[in-house]
Amino acid sequence: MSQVIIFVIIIAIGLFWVGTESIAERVVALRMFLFFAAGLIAFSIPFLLFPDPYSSTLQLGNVSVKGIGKHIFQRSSLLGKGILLLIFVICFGDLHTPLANLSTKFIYLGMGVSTFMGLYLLGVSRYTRSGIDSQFWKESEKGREMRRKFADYLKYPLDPGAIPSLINTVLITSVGMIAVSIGAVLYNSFGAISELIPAVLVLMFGLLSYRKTRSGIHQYYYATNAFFREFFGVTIKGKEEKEKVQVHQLWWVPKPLKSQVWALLLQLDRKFPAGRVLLLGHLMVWFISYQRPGADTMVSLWLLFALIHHAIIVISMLPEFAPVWWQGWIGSTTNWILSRFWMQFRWILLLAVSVYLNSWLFGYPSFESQLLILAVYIVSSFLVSLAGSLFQKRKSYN
Amino acid sequence: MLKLENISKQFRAGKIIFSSVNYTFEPGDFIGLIGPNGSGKTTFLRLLSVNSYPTDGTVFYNDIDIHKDPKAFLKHVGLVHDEESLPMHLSAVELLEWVVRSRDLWNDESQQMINRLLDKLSLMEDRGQQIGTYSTGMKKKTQIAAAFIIEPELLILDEPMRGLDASTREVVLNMLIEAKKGGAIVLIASHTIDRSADYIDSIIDFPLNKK
Repeated sequence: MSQVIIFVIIIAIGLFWVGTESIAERVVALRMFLFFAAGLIAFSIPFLLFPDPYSSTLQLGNVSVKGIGKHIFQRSSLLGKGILLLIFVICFGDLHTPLANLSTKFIYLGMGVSTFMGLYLLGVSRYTRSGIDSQFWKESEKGREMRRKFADYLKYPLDPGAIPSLINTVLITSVGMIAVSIGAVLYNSFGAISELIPAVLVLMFGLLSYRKTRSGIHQYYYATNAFFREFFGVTIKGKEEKEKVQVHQLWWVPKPLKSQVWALLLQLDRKFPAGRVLLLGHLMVWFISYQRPGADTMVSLWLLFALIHHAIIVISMLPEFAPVWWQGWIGSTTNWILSRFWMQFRWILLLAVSVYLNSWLFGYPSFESQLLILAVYIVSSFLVSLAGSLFQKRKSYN
Repeated sequence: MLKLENISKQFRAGKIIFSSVNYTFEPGDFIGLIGPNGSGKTTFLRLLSVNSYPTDGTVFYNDIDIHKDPKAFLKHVGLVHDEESLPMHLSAVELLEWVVRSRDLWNDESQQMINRLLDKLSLMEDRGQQIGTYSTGMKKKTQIAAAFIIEPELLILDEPMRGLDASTREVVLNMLIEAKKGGAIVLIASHTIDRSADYIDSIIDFPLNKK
């Protein structure tokens, strides 16, 4: 049921975004979305897959190699289905002329699906394989030496175990963005059909990567799961301990919500680099602004980006941040709704400044649109928090 | 005072766990819940910790209907849940800070209180690590510390001794006896309870409504 609601929301967002646009605008929208999707896939796949709470169940059942592969894809299937649905809506969600330009729509559906599937396969394969290398860098003398050099020369506390994941993130994001950019260049010279070429190449790259992973997927899965479990477990000493968010720093949170907001932010900062992901999002929006896509498109893009922020609320509802019994003991449902809502004010200043500077440099969004974007951010934050908290409450009591 | 009036619970029509149960627990009562697995002890405690709602009947804590005003009730309750699930990305120290702050009880002494309690439970150098890395016993110690840190008037504990070593079990038992002496109501489900112990005021045998 919850999946159906998510799909309905995705369809609504897609139609709101491009439902009345021309085919040329749809093509631009699809490219922009694939740009975003490349970053989203690169950042979210490791988060969705590892560490896997079901790994002990898989061990108990001694699940086959094929079964483990299936399990991995199932764990990230909601992301996959959601993105594929949005690609479909961008291409075919045409409210004014649904039957016009059908061949072009099919070409871009192929381009979108191929690019996405290639990146998705690449992400799943590379992250699933990353555990053995990550463990080597984390535990070996070579890794220790690298950590020392980074600390001495660059004054940066790099954990060498994170290097393979970092490389994967950069690789997947770059492959996606470069493929979309090359596709746009080819389109200008050779027409729409040529935009399929880089997309198919990305798909082949993904398939080859998955082929390399498939036969040993059970070994990779257990090794990577073990690594991520240990990696995220340790440790909160030293620099991180000093830099962690403190209660007194949350001056912008009302007192009754402060303890909940503090505990959620502290945990989110350790589990999920939300700040870096959002910063990347801002950079992408700015990159697209630089292409001067027009006022309406930019407003839609900022609105979409504002909504994407609230994935943080959804993540904070996972039991690993606060099991349902704990939530009930710590605070009332109203308190949780307001805490999750207020937590999102952490990013609003950055959003407001970014939209304002964007408008100052490129002439849009207008002042009214800026206010609209911030209003949508605030209202949607409350609605997501409300819906999620009530859904959790309903599920928990019998 | 905790008063159960005609409490019934069924998971579905015909699947009755217990019906028309009446109890009154006074401050300083130490109540043991004993019975085989699946006999309804956890359901009973989940009901009293507002993690489950009765099919019928009412539970009052003093004048509070606990299922109508959980917030007012739960601030008096220390809870050890049957699962060891806890927020994974906080340390034990931070978790206890959260509990104290959520009840607006934080003061200059709180940090020392937390450390003293964790010392007592022998949660030593690992108290600064994330709970996700703890063993079952360490998670249980953290849960127990979280229940005691607010000096509750009512302690609801579902198998609090599970996974604990013998010396910690003794420490926890002494803490419970101290709480009872201080006027707290203690409700504990445990397979290790000694029926004849002098600190026990009453034993509730499960399943209830035996024919």
